[in-house]
Amino acid sequence: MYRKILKKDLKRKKSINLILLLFIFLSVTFVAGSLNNVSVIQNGIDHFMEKSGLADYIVVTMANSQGSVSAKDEKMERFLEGQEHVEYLVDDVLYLTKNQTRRSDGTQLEQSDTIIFSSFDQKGQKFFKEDNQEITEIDEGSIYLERKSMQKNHLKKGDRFTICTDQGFRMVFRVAGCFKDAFLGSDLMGTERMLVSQSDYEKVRREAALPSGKIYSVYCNDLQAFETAYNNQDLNVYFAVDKEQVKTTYVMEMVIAAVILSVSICLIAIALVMLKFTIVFTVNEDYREIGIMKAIGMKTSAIRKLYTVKYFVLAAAGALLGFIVSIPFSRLLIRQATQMLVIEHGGTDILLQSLASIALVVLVTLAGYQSTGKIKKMMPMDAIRRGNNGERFHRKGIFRLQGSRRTTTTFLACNDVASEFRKYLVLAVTGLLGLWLVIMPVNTINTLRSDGLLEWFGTQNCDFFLADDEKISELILSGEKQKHYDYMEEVKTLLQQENIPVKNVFTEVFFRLKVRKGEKSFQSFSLQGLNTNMEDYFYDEGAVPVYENEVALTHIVADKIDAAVGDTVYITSEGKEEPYLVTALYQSMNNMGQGIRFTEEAGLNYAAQAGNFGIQICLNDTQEDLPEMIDRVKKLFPETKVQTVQEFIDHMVGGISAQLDSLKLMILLIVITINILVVVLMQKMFLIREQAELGMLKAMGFSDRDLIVWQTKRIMLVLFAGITVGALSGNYFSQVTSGKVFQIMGAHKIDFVINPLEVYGIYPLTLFFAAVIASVITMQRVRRISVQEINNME
Amino acid sequence: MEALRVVDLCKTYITNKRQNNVLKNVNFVIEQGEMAAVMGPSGSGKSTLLYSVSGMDRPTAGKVVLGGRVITELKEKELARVRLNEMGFIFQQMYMLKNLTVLDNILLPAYQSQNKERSRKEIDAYAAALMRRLGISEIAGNDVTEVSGGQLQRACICRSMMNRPQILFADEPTGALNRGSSEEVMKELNRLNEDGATIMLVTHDLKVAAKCSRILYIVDGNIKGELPLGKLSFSAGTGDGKEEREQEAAGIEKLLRERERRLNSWLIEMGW
Repeated sequence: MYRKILKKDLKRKKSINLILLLFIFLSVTFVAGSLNNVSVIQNGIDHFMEKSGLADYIVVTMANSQGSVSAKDEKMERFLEGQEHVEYLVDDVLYLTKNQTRRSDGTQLEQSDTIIFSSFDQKGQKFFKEDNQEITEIDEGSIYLERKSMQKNHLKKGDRFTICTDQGFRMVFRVAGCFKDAFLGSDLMGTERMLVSQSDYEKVRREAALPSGKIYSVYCNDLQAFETAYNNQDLNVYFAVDKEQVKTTYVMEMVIAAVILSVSICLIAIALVMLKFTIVFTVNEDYREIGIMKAIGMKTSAIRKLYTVKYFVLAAAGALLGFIVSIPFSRLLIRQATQMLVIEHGGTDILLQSLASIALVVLVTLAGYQSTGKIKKMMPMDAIRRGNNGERFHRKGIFRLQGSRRTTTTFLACNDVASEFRKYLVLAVTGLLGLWLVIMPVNTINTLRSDGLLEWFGTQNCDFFLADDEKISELILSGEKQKHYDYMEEVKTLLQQENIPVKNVFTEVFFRLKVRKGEKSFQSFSLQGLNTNMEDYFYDEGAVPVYENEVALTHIVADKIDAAVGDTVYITSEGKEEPYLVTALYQSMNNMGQGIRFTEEAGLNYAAQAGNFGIQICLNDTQEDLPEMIDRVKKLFPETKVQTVQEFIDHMVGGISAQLDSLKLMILLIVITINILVVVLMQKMFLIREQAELGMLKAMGFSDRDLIVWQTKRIMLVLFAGITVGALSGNYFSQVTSGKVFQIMGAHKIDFVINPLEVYGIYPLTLFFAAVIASVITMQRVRRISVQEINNME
Repeated sequence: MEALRVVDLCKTYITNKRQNNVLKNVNFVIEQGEMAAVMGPSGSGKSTLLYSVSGMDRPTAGKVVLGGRVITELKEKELARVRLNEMGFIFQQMYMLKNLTVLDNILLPAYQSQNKERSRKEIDAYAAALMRRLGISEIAGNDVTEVSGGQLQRACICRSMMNRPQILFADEPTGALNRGSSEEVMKELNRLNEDGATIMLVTHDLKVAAKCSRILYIVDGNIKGELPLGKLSFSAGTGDGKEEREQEAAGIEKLLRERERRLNSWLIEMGW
């Protein structure tokens, strides 16, 4: 009997059932796919770290001068030897700069600020090829590059490039492929690595006179105790991170997974509301059948089971299809992550995807059963009295036509929506959630691409950067503050000679220094601006540091050592601990939120500096075209990477805005599809339910066009309400979702850059008009409704 | 003067690949001010005829001329305009939009017609006058579920009259009403007819048909015969004194019974 009833019902409401099936299918595909994505990336990162043998704590040092034996390393090793329950491994590395890597045509390779050049057989870490096989040997003359480096240079296996130095060293390498590096492989890691054979490494070390360094892989039982001890030292290192921080650098992979998961959750919410709407509608439609079934003695539970079986079949069919499609879909989602991580089972967790599909079937079936509650209230009398059991609880219209100045179609649309808003709630919710999902990546991209974001990276606003200059590396190695000033003056003069309207040339030099308050200490990323104005930085609270013994701390550093504005902290530079007054707190997304900002007068040891952002150029207000001016600067400094502010930010956030850009388009398409499906489903149901009213209005003299206009205006009104609320609250949604990512990167509180044209114009209107067009097309069916349908009116 | 001319009207339905000729070359004329009833056994094509001549349904062949215009040749949009402005339709069930009050339901076609000759204030006044005349002023602000069937059907009559149509079509207008309500509704239709409205209705009720001026009897999709009953004044109970009004009413009752007997005999002759 169930089969017969089911077959009849499925045939009777083909398109409605098809849309519901599609919704369940999409929900299962997205949920199973994105859950798999989150799980695989989360577990994949752990698995990758473990397989690579990544240490609990990693310290990277850089010698002050080329080829010198570093005193820093001696100090570091002394410290490590003195630690209990701590083991460590040391690997030698060399440092390359971008202009030491050249293609056969002489052009530089596009590389990160610093490149670590090492042999593959590192003691502290294993490396893997693209096919996840461990690199156990590298042919002489071959070199493995990181994926990000291969991509930005459009390099492929077999391509050649040369490593050369000013001292005349030249060595040609053939690209053997890209490799997976747990420590430096994520997009957020600014440093890249190149892997060669042991013999090639030794040759370069001996002959190229490149700056050397060491990587200390520290294994300890009590990481916290080790970190406390480490932070109490005045160790001058290039950088140091623990394993958890390395994992955090893969956050951008999680962001994409989280965005898709939130789309899936919205999709489930919409699917369940649609399901309830459809079931309530069907039950109301079937009052005769239900009344008769009750009259012949069928139990309420049996009738409810009949309806539930139908939705179980739909859910099972949709889930099966969704499960099958979710496998390739999830692989597509984690494509980038699989290029970066060593992931087990090809990135598919069949068990998790099956469980997600089964859970959705159960959820849909339960929601279906729960929605059939109205059957309990229906009596055999309903079959006799055409669904009217004598009770009059129909709600009156809100508005009155008498005296109204609106057209009848507008009046009817407003009155219908105002009188029975619950009936249209699903559409309003779809519009609202849809817009939230679209606005979130839009706001994130706009924020990431805004010039003002530079302030959140701990540097002052400027017009462009001269990064990766050979001279800058020299300045870092020289350890002399005055040389920085001299070079900036030189750059300024050169630019002015070329009629570039330079207002200011400045730089931000960074250090890694120990800061302490009481018993608590921390090795923090620290900055000193040269030629900068302390008042031009952004501070969240407190007053601008002015004197040499005043500093500003980021919230994260302040929290680490329990410091606040007005406190005195102790900062160690070259073994000397000096007191500093904390005058302000600020936020930074550089180095995961770490930061101590010194005034220009502060006497810091420039031999301990770890680097700088390059030379930053501020122009006078000028009408001149910036891109054209940058082209001129590029000609003036052919060896230097000239970066716009946007390029600099993209570089800092690992190209996330480009990823979000493609994701934005995908979300927009999904949201439009969902909106259209909801509108089509609703309109189809309204057409069935209201065909008698439509017939009556036709008989009365309403044209097909009038009826289409009436029905479409209703959809427009509801969508307008949903989308307006969505547009007004969408920015808050961005704050609580995407804002968390900025927080992971170190921001304390970020003000999203909102483009009103996009947020309140383009995207709401796109959603709105897509749904309105879908409504108009669906409503063309009105033309087929005959006046005689009036006989079906209740 | 002709209000409606029907020429060789045919309507065929195809059901399960079988052709079902419901109307077969139907011809008749309804004069202005006439009140014609279409009678016939179930399945004879009464309602199909009414829907076809009123432009609610497209006939398969033939011509319907309403007020000199061939409405069977009109496009859907023009036909909708004719339905809105030139005709009224009363259904057996009292169909109204549930979200509107009784008054708003009545006003709807007039507001929709966007007739520049009448302001919305004039439309409101006209609706109020019609409702007063049909004795339903007190239910104007009521919800459609709050009034009786008779009141609702009278509201439907008001609605059908809002655009001052040339002709009023009614499909079993008293079919869903009890005897008392049925008489009230027929009384109003007769009064409208007396005021000049042309009415064509379908009924199987002798009492309703007896109040019409002409009967068309349809069998198997053909008009088998016509019975002219003649126009009758139903302005009963309008006399000055109570006695006079009772006498007038009794006279009308007698006359109606006589027309019913005549109609009954004729229908038996026709094979009813």
